[in-house]
Amino acid sequence: MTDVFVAPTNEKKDSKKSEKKINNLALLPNFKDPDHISHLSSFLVKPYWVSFQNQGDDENVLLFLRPHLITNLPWLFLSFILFLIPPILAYIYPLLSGTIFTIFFLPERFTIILVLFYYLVVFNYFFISFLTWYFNISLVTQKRIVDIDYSDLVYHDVAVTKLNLIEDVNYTQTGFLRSLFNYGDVFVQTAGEKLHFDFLKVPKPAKAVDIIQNLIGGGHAE
Amino acid sequence: MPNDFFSSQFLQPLFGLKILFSIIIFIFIVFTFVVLNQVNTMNKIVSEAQSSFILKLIAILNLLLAVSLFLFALAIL
Repeated sequence: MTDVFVAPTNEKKDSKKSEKKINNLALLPNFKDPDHISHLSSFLVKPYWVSFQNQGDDENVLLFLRPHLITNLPWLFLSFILFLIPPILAYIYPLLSGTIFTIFFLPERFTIILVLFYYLVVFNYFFISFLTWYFNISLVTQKRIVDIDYSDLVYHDVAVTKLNLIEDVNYTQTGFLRSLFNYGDVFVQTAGEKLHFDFLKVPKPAKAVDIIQNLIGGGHAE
Repeated sequence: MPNDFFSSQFLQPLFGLKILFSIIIFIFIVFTFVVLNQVNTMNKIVSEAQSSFILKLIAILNLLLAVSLFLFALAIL
């Protein structure tokens, strides 16, 4: 039996509506004016000075995330301790003269080179720890989510997924330090090849989730 | 003649230590070169207006410091 009446589907209207919503992100109240340039920040909205590989001409970074600054304290503290070791040893050295430890002491020119090399190593530890934090970045544009994982100096992993493949976004914020400094883990579940995008130890996880939900059309404007 | 043989620089333990130091510092130069290479690679993946340049500059300075230390070690040891 042929259909008497077939109601027009709203698929095209819905897709146009969501596309319009995505393209008009600037009108959403929680997308405030672009932040001023801040190179060490961990949470930035519309950082216009940031660009990434294969970024489209009409594609703008809307959200920029890094681990919270407080997560750098352990290696900063360790670097400080390592920096202080040679002066402490220099203070102790006269006290050890005449003991069995003197046989391990080198001529002065070797000691100079050793100390300089030691500080170069400490500086490299500091620099590589900083790079590990600095290049662990998560970006959200009006089209895609980009997750850059950088660790162990020679390992980096770049994962990209389209916004329309995102199925679910949630976050966790557990523990005293995380609650105090307001940072947590954001989990993005996708229908793409990579099922999970994890943004670990990012500041303001609730706001990050809200922004991403607004982009995929599931959140609410503030 | 035996004294000349045993006084040869090549048999002095400090000369061996000098060679050891030089090798270690040379290996470290290679490491700093890898650091510079990684900074360049990551700057291509994501770049910020001024930070990328500053990071590259620090990595180059790091490499130059390692090379300088190597030459200094060769000179004074």
